[in-house]
Amino acid sequence: MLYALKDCANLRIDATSDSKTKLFVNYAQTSTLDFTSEQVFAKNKNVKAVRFDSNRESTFKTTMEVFAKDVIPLLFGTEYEQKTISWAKREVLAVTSGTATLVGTPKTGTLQVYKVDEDDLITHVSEQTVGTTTTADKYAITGQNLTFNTTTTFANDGHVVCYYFVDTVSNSFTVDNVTFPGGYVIYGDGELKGTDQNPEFVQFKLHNVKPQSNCTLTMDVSNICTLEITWDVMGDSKGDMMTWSTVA
Amino acid sequence: MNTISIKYTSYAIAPDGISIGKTYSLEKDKKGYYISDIETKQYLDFEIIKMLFTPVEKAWEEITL
Repeated sequence: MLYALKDCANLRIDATSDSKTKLFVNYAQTSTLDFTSEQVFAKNKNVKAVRFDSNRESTFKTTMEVFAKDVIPLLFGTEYEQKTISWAKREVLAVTSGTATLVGTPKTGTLQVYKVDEDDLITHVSEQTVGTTTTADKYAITGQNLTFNTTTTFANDGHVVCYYFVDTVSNSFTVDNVTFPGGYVIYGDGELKGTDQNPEFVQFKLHNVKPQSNCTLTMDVSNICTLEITWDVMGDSKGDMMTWSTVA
Repeated sequence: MNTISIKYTSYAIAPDGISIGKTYSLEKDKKGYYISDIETKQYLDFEIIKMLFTPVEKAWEEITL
């Protein structure tokens, strides 16, 4: 019988460090196995007569448009951990009669205040620093209430932009310059379909893979981010790179 | 006046030379109120000090200067 192959494999990704499953992926768009090797030929006169094969190499490429968030740290060789992170916040406040009130609660010593251009509410006009409000560009702060100079800086109502940090317990990961992805074993489930139209279950095992450390995350207003992971497929301790199985 | 221990507690960016978490002494001399530690001595308006710093042991209202 002849068979056809379609659809993307579902993947189970196990870390070699603890043999535990880190990820199950049944949402990838494509999964592509690519094998290459080098050849040299012994020639009879100028005609290739004997071929010697060596240096088999392989990559396994997966592309995803939707993905579990755990995929991203995996690319960098790290994992999410729960810790307190300083989140950068921005608030634009209307200054009415020289006063404004923050909505958030900044972390101590992190609040920066700028008077902004009324046309765009973005461009900084002048920095406001704490001090005596009888002086231009000085403000007073009590709790979340801000009081500005009303003789010069805010002789008319206007707006300020506030930048500050808020400590929040978060799931986060950090990409550093010494940690790179670890090794994994991938089990891929696929389906061959015969000319009799009956599907036949296929499972392949990639014995020793590692995601390439080159990663691009594009945040684009026009296009959906396609997360592409290219795994280098290496031989395990026995030299095995892939096992392809169908039910006997 | 007695020396009062104070810490920076305002949300606002601290003035140059002031560290968050550090304990300073609040004192007064003939030039005015100042905050100090081993490395720093800064004269500040008392109202600004009250706005930016909090006494370590008591509230401002309980302190007699």
